[in-house]
Amino acid sequence: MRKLIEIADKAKVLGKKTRVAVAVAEDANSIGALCRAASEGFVHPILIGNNSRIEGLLRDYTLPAAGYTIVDLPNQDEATREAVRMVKSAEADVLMKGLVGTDKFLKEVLNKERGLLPPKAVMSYTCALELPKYHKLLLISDTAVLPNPDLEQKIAMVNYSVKMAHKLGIAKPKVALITATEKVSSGMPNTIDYALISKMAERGQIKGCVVDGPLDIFLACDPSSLEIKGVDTPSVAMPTSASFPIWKPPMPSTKG
Amino acid sequence: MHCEHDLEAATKAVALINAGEGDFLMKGLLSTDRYMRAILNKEQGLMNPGAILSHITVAEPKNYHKLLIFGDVAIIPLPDLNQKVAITNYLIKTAHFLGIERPKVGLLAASEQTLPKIPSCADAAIISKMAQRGQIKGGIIEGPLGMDLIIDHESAVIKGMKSEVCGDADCILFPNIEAGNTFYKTIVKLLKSELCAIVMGARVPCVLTSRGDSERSKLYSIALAAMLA
Repeated sequence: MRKLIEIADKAKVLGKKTRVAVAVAEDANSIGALCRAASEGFVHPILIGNNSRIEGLLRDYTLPAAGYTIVDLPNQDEATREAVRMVKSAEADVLMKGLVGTDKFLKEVLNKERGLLPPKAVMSYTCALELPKYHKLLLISDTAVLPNPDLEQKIAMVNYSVKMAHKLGIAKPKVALITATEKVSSGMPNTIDYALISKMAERGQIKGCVVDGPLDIFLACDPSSLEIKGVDTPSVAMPTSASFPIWKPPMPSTKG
Repeated sequence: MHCEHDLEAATKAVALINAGEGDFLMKGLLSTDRYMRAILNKEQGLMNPGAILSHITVAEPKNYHKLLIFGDVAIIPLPDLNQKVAITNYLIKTAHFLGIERPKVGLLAASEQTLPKIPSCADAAIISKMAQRGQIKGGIIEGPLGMDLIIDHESAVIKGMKSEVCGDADCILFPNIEAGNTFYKTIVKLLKSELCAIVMGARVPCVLTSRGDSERSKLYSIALAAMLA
């Protein structure tokens, strides 16, 4: 996949209408995106929030009344709680954050009784990037949720990225585990974790992908540096997905 | 040369090496701790700063198609990652001296799975990745592997393990002294196999035979030390 638009194209041809519960659906960009997705036929938005504000925003679009649902809950906490409840009770398929703070939103998602996280599950963030100078989409994680993931969380991150790549039609995604160097040393704990993860993949304990790490971003994304450094990782020279040990380095690229 | 006490004799032997009058050291009728004390002595011993002393065995096990080089069965009880890397390098160096160009090294663990909570599995995975990255050179290194996969080709086929080390290992890295020492004694006593051994990591090879070793075994150890010296 080269372009993000291909993701929307793919969603269109799937032929199912995904019900999206939107917590506090009161911002123009969210409503605009949802109306477009609804008019292309792959989404049924459930807009939860202040009824009059939502209707005001909808006036700019020509979506038939049957194409969406409004739930009038002007209180932000209640709106978020309702959106989470709908997903939990299978009345909606996907949860979306509208005009509400991330902390309020995640607090409901992570709520032990009402929330959406199964016990011991790892929550992480995967991002698909369309980079002008890279020949395909690049999935990167975690740029937002896990500040300093441990080994188990890193494994979960790899599995999420692989799952996402599969859904995008990439049968055997190449996963690069990114740190500052390709050398393994006990002085750099991330290189140790990455050596373990790549060996686990070699042994079939992580499936459906090709994994290599530790690698630096040059080795992962630029084949010429493989030759220069003499590192033998041809199968991963062009990764579909990159896992970062901490979320500081990838932030600049996600923000633009 | 006349010496009254055994420690004095050991110190004298080490002094001769340091003076360039001996090429390698051999233990006779004295206890291992006194012998080691002379080697490890900070001022007059045989150690370079930061060097790791380890014991390497070369065995001729019955029912195996070639010699097996392994360690550490005697000196380091529970090697950490750095010590394991050092031992792996000693195994490879010994194999090179024996004429094996690219020795196959199996890193022994409880399972071939990379189980992060089992130290033998985790360290083996890390060392084999280090080898992939060229941080350990001169051999083909694979691990974690169970003993069955290291020495038996058929087990590797059944388990679908494709490494060329499997069933054809020249060297075995043991994760701890219990595993190594038990293996050593098992092949000597149950399989009646011959072996020889050497201490590496000092400035010269040191022969550390046990009082129970046969004359032939001592001869082979001397030959091995002579080759490495």
